[in-house]
Amino acid sequence: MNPTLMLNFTRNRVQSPMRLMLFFLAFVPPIVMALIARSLQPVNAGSGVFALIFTAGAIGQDVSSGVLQLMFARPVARREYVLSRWAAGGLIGAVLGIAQLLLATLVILSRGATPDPSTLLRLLLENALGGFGTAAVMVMLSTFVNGLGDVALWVFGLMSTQILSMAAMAKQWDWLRKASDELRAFLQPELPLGWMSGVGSADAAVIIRFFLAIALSLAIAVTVMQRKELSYAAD
Amino acid sequence: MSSAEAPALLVENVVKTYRGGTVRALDGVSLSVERGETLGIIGPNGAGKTTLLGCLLGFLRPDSGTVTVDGHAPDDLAVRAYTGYLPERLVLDRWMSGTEFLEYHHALAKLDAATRAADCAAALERVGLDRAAGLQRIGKYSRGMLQRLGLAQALLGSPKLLFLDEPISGVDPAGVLLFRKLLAEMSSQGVTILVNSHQLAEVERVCSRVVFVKKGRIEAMETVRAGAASARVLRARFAAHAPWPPPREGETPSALLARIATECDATWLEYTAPDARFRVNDDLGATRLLSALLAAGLPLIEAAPDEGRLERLFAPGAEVRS
Repeated sequence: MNPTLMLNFTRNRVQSPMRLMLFFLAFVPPIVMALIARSLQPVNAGSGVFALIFTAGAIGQDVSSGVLQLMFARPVARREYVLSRWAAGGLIGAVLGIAQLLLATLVILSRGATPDPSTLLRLLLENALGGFGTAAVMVMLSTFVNGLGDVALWVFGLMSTQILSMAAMAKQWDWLRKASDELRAFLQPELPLGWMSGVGSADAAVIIRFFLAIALSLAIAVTVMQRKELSYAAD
Repeated sequence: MSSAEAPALLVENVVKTYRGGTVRALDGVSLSVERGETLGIIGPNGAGKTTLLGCLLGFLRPDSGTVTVDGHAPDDLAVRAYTGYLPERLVLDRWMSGTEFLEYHHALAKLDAATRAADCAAALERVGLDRAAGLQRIGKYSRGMLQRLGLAQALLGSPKLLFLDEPISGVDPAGVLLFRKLLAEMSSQGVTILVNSHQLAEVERVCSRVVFVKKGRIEAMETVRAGAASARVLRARFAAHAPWPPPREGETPSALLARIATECDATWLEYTAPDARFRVNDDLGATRLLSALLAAGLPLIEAAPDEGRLERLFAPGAEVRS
């Protein structure tokens, strides 16, 4: 991980008015809903959304703009670059998700309601980790296509899982349903920690699947990036 | 071969194709660049110059052949620690200020953070950008300022290898002079410099050796400053109203010039008063021709190369030496 790359990426991301507008739309309404519902439920998955907004095009936009040539003329390993993009994206998601959660908590407290401490702790942890899952997937997709094509790939992937699920239900194909569930879980890595607040029990498979999705996404991203040629001569 | 003995840049029989092998960008290129040498790469558009640079910088992988930089693979991070690069298409983060951009690259180059501010201020000053320009957002820079800033980042950390792709494209005359001065400085410090450019006069001026690339091959390689042996066209100008020596019977001015040229092993090409053009074989041939013109009593007032030594490489059907 390279702090210079992480800081530069973060600064770069907040220069985009479109991203800031999307961030505003994802940040404020859930807090208002939490205020109305006097519950933290509306703000339970913020970090994933924020990571999606700020990590989209993390590598693809660099490839299409041509800034990579100058960066890779420096002693910067491609692995270091990919991991820095992921860490920065995940961190942005986590920080904003936690900020949203804390703000919602303050708003609820101001209305006289008291959130359950174990629920708050669970949501804090879920937000802290969730952003890194989404960021890993977006970074991986971003190595495949230029610009913001990763968002299209992500949406296409999720829609495909829906279609596969419906086909599996219609045909009674359990294997296909399981496959589409796995694919969906891979594209939307989440780590539900409900067991921390007494809902269900800890499932090791879910935890492993979450971290495996991150590891696999990053491994693919690094491999693709290592093989990628940077040229404008071939344009 | 240890890296200390190895040439600064070594390209051996490199082939690079695009689009599934249908476009052959480099077709068996071999090249060796010694330490401290300033090498120019010239050639028409699409000749493979930028692809060659891409292979040397480790951005592109050759289909076959080998590329080594200082005895290492071109994408070796140790090599990149002392490499400076100015790309042809300078794409910068427009939201940064010039100083921030240099500080960013200073950090990426893993140079000493304690000297960062001073190094970046010095780099800006070196390329003729003042403090105010350094504080300005890059989005507001002119083309020439961008090129200067790009050069400043390439010079950060005193590189031992410098790759410059069209370095004076869009630069004003003052910038061109500065570029020449900086390159001369770097060259005197033993920096190995590779310049890819269409500006033939500039390449001729700053490079010690030039390779001419065409259709993915090195068609010619010559030492610019030792170009005494190169044939070229010379333009001679005569005083418009001064008298010429009496002609032999029936001899026109053109015939007179052709005869003199033939006598000293040169070739008369054309005469359109007040200029005549001749082809000479080398520096000595030029001296002999000019002496002969003066000896014949012609009112010669000026003589200059009609084309740069490198321009002839671009002439259709030009003969080139390897």
